[in-house]
Order: sequence, then structure tokens, then C-alpha cells
Amino acid sequence: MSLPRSQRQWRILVASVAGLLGAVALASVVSLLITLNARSVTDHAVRYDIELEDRGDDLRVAVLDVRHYHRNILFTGSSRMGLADFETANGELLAAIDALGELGINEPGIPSAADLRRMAEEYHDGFRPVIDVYGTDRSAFLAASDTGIVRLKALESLAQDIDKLGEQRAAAALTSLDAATGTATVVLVAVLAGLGLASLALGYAGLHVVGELRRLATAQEEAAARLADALRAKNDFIADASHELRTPLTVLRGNAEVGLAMDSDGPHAEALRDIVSEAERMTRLVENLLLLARSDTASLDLERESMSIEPWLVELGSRADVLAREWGAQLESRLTARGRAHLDPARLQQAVLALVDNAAKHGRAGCLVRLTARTVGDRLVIEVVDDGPGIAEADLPRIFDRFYRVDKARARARGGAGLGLAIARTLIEAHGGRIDARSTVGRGTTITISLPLVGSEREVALEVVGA
Amino acid sequence: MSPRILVIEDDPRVADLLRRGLEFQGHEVILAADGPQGRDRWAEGGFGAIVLDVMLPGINGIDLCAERRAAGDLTPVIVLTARDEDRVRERGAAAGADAFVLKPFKYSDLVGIVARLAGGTGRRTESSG
Repeated sequence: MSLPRSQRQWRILVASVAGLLGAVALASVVSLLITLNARSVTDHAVRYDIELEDRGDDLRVAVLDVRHYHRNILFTGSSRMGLADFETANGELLAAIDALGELGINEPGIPSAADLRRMAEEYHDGFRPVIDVYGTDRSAFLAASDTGIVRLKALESLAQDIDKLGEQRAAAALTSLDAATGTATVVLVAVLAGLGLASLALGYAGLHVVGELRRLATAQEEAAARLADALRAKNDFIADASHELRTPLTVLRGNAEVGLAMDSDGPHAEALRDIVSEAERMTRLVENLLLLARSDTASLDLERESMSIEPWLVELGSRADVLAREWGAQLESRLTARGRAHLDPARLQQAVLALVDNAAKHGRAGCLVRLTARTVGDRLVIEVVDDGPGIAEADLPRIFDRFYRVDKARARARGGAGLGLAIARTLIEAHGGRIDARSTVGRGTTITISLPLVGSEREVALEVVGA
Repeated sequence: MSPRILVIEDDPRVADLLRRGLEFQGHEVILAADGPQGRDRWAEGGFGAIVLDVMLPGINGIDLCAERRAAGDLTPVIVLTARDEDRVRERGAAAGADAFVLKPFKYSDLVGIVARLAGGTGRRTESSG
């Protein structure tokens, strides 16, 4: 079979469970049938065969009783008492015949109850009248008595047949009960054996499935560990490479700067300035890569301090202004937030400046970038709003991804690596804050940062705004 | 005459850059390529400022600074550091360093700080940005 091992074992397990349940059901049905069959055989035997034997026996006894009183009359003559006994015995004979009739005998070679009754009546009707002529007509009495004895003999022989037949029938019923029970036992044993086998299969399959699950879990753990190792190795590599690039970048830029300092108007100045600006750009890229790699390995080292927001905002505003102007954009700031926060001021400034840089870079020349900071409840909310081209809805969820650029050609031309927003998000989230973007194509984009303030010193008036 | 500067830096490329840049500002620059050598030169004295790398063979820059301060040496110390080096600012400040310059540094930032701390007549001390 080409099924994978684990799937095969699942099938064995399922089949075993199903087989086990089926076997249990079958065993129950078989037991039930055996019980019903045994009971019906027993009932029949008790109700008919044994009764047949008993009542046959009763009939015989009744016949013998009648004969006994018949002979009494024959040898001692008629007396009132002898006659009464004879009549009683006759009544009992008829009762025994009726009892057989009630059983509803219908056996080949055995006359019906009605026939027996007729025979008994013939006997009684033939003998009873001659008792009265016992003393007077001796020969008629003797002739009738002989006929009567013959009739009784015939009745007794029939009673014996019925008795024997009942005996045979009861024995046969018991034999059939035995046979039924024997067959049932064999079936039950077979079913129980099947049950045992199914249980064994189930146990076997269960053990294998558990083993397989354990193996799978181990394999998954190993895969996860390998993935984590690979991720760590990747991040370590990026961190190491970025770290190692710092020195050559320092040397490159520093030497170009020294060259410029020596000869700021000379023929090489322009080339040196380009080297400096490219080295600066590469420095930023390297620092950003390093930051993201460190944030992945949770070793991003924030230097948090408890600080007042106002002076930090003042510095942020002036830096943002310089940055926007570098891109030929105009910055309008409204920085009204107050309070204290536990933040890394440099990293947070870097995050906001990345947003301003992004907004100014992607707007048209002379575009307007608005930077606002306000207190909303116990949070500092900073917004960077531009009136640039906007971001399509499909792109919006991905703008915080690394190296994601909405307009690749344009972004590259303007020197964007696609890391600014990723850096901003990484830094904001490392501070326990949130960053969101809203945009309308053709109208502009708003990026909102929300950061927790240290509760006590926020402005009461501004709480109302957030409420 | 601008003050003498001791540069303790094990990477020859960075050391050369610092020497070139600071000499252009009119300083006399003494280079030391490892911790022990730096310690010996520093102990000789006569420097307007020390430019000190952190990761040095022999002895760590921060420890060296602490050692000199303990010996009563008050020469201004400018520590070269990378931002993510573990708590260098805290440890450096505790060891008595006067200023920190982040690598990769801007030439103008560095010479500005050297000029401020060491004094002298640097030819051109552009203000740091």
C-alpha cells in the first residue's frame, strides 16, 4: 500500500474501533437470541411435552382406577359404595381426558380428546347398565364386563402411548435445548475471540499511533528548533555584517570629510561630497538593518528614561522641520501634548522622523507635511499627515513591512530602501505603542502613533478630549 | 600650538583617519594600538585629550579610563562607541569619560568635541550638526 505509515495506522485504529463496536453489538445480539431460543425451547418443553407426559400418566392412572373398581364390582358384586367409587373413577377418567383436551393434543397415531372421551363414554354406557343385572342376568353382565375390560385396556394402552410420547418429546426438547445452548456457546466463544482479537489489534494500533504522534511531535519540535536556529543565524549574520560595516563606513566618510575640510572648493569637492552623502545613506541603512535584526532577536536595547514630553517635542519639531526642508517640503507642527513618559527619546525621535521623512519624500515638491502631538486620555498621540498621492487600500496593510515600497521606481530614485516605516513600527511597538495608517488615494496619508504616558502628570483639560 | 591628542584605537584604518583629521586641525597626534600601550603613553601625560576606543586588546577602554581617573588623571576623555555596545555610556560615565562619539561618527562632530574639550586653536572647528 502506498499510504504513508501514519495514515495506515490511523486506518487500523479506526477499523479496530469499528470492529470492536461491531463485535460487541454482535455478541449482544447473539446472547439475546440464545436466551430467547433457550427460553422458547424450555417453554415449549414445559408447557406441552412435559404436560403431555404428565397428563398421559394421569389418564393411565384414571383408567387403572376405573378398572380397579370395575373388577371390584365383577368379583364382589354391586354395592352402593362400590358403585359410587366406580362412578367417581369414571368422572376422574373423563376429567383426565378433558385435561388432555385442554392441552390441545394433535399427534399422529394418537386419537383426539374427543375420540378418547367417546371411547370412555362407550365403555361407561356399555358397562354401567349391566351392573344393575349383576344378580339377575349373570351372562349378560359377564359379556358386557369383558367388553368393558377390553375397552379399558385399549384406553390404557392409548394413555401409555401418550405418556411415552410425552416422555420422548420432553427428552427431545431437552436435547434440542442442549444443542441450542451448545451452538450458542460456540457462537459466543467465537464472537468473544473476535472481540479479543479486535482489542489486541486496537491496542497494537493505538500504541503505534501514539508512537507515531510522539515521533511527529518530536519532528515538529526539531523543525521549529531548526527554523529558530536559521532565523537566529540570519539575524546574527545581519547584525554582524552591519556591525562590521560600521568601521569601513566611518573610514570612508571620515576620509572624504577630511578631504573636504582640506579642500572644500577644489576640483574634487563635489565628488567628496557625494561620497559623504552616499556613506551617510549607507550608514543609515546599516543602522536600520542592525536595528531590525536586533528587534527580531528581542535584543533591541531601548535606553528608556522617565522624561517630560515638552522639551522632547521641541527638539523633534525642529529636527522634523530641517528634514522636511531637505526634501523641499513644508512642515506645519502643532505640538500640544504634555506629560511624562518612560521612553527612549532618541529611538522615539528616530521613529517619528522616519515618518516625516517618508511623508516629505513621497509628496510633490513644496508639499505640506503636518506633525501634531496631543494628549488623548493617558496616551500620547502623534500624527504625521501628508497631502501626497496617498496609498491604495491594497497596499495599506503592507506599508509597515520591510523593504515594501508602493512605487518602487520612484522610491528608489529618491533613495528609499523601504525600511523607514518598518523601523518606525518596530520602535513604536518596542515602546508598547501602536502605529496605524489611513489613506485616501489623491488626498494623502495619515500615520498615527499612540504611546502610553505616565498617568499622573497629563493635562486634565486634555483628558476630556480623550474621554 | 593645538594640544597633543592621544588616540588609543586598535583598528589601523580608524586610527589613520583620526590622525589625519586631527593633524589637519593642527593637533599633534600620538597613536597607541592596544590597551597596555595606551596606558603607558597616557601615564606619560601631556595630552589635551584622549580619544579612546572601547574594544581594545589587552585592556578595555572603559577600564583603562577608570584606572587613569583613579590615579588622579583628569585629561578629558572622548570615548568612541557604537550605540548598541552594552551600556557603554553608563559604564563610561561612571568611569569618568567626558564625551561619547558614536561610530560611525562624523568628522566634524569629532573634531568639534575634541576642540571643545582639549581647547587649542584648531584651524577649523565646524560645529556639530
